[in-house]
Amino acid sequence: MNEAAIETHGLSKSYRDKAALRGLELNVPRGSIYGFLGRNGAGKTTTLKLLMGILRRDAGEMRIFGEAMDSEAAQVEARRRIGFVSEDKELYPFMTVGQMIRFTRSFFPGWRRDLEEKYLELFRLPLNRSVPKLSKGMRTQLMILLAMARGADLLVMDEPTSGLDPIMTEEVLQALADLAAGEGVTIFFSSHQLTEVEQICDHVCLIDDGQKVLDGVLDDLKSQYRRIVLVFDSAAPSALAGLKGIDHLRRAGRTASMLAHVDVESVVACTQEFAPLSVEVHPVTLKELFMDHVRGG
Amino acid sequence: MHLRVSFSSGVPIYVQLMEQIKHAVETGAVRAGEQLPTIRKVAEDLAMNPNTVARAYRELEREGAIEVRHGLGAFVADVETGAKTTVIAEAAESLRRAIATGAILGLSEPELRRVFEKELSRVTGDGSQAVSGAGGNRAGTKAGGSGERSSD
Amino acid sequence: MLWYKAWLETRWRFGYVAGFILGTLGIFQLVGISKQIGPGLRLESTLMFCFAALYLAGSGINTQTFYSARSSFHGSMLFTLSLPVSRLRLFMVRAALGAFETCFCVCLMGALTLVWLSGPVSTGQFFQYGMRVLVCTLPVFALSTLLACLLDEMWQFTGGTLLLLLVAALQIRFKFIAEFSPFRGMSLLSYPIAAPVPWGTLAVSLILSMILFFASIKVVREKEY
Repeated sequence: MNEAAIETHGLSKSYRDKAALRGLELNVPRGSIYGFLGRNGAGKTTTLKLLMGILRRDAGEMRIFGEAMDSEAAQVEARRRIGFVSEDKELYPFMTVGQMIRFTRSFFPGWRRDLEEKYLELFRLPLNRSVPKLSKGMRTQLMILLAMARGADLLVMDEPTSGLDPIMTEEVLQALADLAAGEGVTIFFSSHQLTEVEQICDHVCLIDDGQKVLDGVLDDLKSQYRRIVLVFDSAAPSALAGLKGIDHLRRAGRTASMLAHVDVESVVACTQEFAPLSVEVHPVTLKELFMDHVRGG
Repeated sequence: MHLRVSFSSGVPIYVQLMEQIKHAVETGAVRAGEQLPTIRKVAEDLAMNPNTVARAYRELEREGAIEVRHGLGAFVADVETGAKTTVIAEAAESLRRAIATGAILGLSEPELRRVFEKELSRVTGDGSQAVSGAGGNRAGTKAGGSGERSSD
Repeated sequence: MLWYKAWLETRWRFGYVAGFILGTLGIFQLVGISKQIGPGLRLESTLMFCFAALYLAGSGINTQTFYSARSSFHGSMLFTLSLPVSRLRLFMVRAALGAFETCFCVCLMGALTLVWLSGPVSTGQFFQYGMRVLVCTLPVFALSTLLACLLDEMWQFTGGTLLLLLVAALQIRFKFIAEFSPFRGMSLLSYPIAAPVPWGTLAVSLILSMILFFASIKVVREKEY
């Protein structure tokens, strides 16, 4: 029972003119709430579609709950345990809320009526309204309800809170936290809302240009990484780049800032040889980690 | 018990949660022997990761501030045993930070020891109690009758 | 509940086509067009006209959504594909219901045009004609299914119409094609009610349908969304 919920090795996918994913290594532990981050076009949606079997991969391995996804039959079997929320949150325009629920329910013998009713009421979704007449926020909530109520072991969601107002967002996050805590559901979602990711995720993975650039337990990343800010009497020396164990050095006039994540104290000690006027060590936020690993380097 | 955490501050969330719970005990919002909300409830109320809540509870249990009774839940530990352990743990943490800062500033072990002993004797010497511990090797003393001030 | 979904998806289009047929025939009857031209020609033109209309509208039965905004089609397809159902099954249900609806419309049309035949029609002849029409409609239905899998909505209409015209033109130009053309197989002018069943034409229709259906299945399995 220890196998990861999702595991990929060397996952690759190209479109006609572009390589969307170039060897992605992913390991999503069971029961985790996993945030999948990256700029637009980095390959997040492609990854999610590959996981669901909507796209076919060019190369690499993919396992869901330990089962290799090497045939359509395996994918269909995996989907019995997965709830999916797509990026554009589109459902059938010829159905009402109630019909969408009944339709989806028919595919999942493990459907949770109690969750269906709980979220119907919480999200205040009108049963008889047709899908095109729902606001984008309500469509998103309906899609999330359909994903959560099916008794899935894994939720795969593409920007689940985009387009939701702050109250709806909090309701959704609470529901996700409750699902993870109460049912042990693994939740894998991509997002641009870094504050939400910080709030609810225990693991994160950051991809850029089709490859993973950072991943790990969020608390550990935040406690391991430190920003070191140095101020000098004259222009910050370029020789700082030679320091071992630092990433993303930035020099601006008399100030230099860098990220360090291994043996911060010894790095700080090494900076002494450049005779800085002051040395400050700050914790980093997820936003800073994101910005530096994607833009900088 | 009203818990609030900031998700984007530099302080790890589980540490914030631990502080909040200990604060609740200090202010009497929860008393010794009272039950704490379940991990699930805290996670849902704050819309945060249940593993992080679990970690906070585990650390609190290790420090002796709370007791986890199997199958029943988490309870605030008995004041006597709990409080002392917590206090000791807090003091150790403060000292750890002070030592780290000293090291960063370039003090050697014998130098640090000398500073510590000096500050310790200053406290025990004139009998003043208030030692502000947060992260510094600066010890301030309450200006009682002796007219002493905090020094660098 | 895939059938339920497919039904909800196509019911308006289906009603439209059936209504269109009834309406057209009704108008013909009212206007008395049947009396102006000779009996054979009347039926022929009626059949061709309705058939063309049926095909054009019927290809709509096969498109995956009636609501044409491209983005909503694409998105809801993602939802369908995230369900634990194989692509083959998705396709079969949709194709089957579409076939059923199209057959119903075709039978409706056939039955009504037959009613205009002044001569007596035995039950056997009635069913024989029905079978002929059905089998000859199959390749057209299969073609529209394939187009629905390959092209998006706008091009389906255009593509379908162009192909139809192409076949009609070829039929006029090349006797050989005309010999086995499904359109001819359906027409009462070429094969009046009492004539022997054109088995060759029916066979060609069936084979063509199967080829087109298999092509559709292949496309559906490979397609990326």
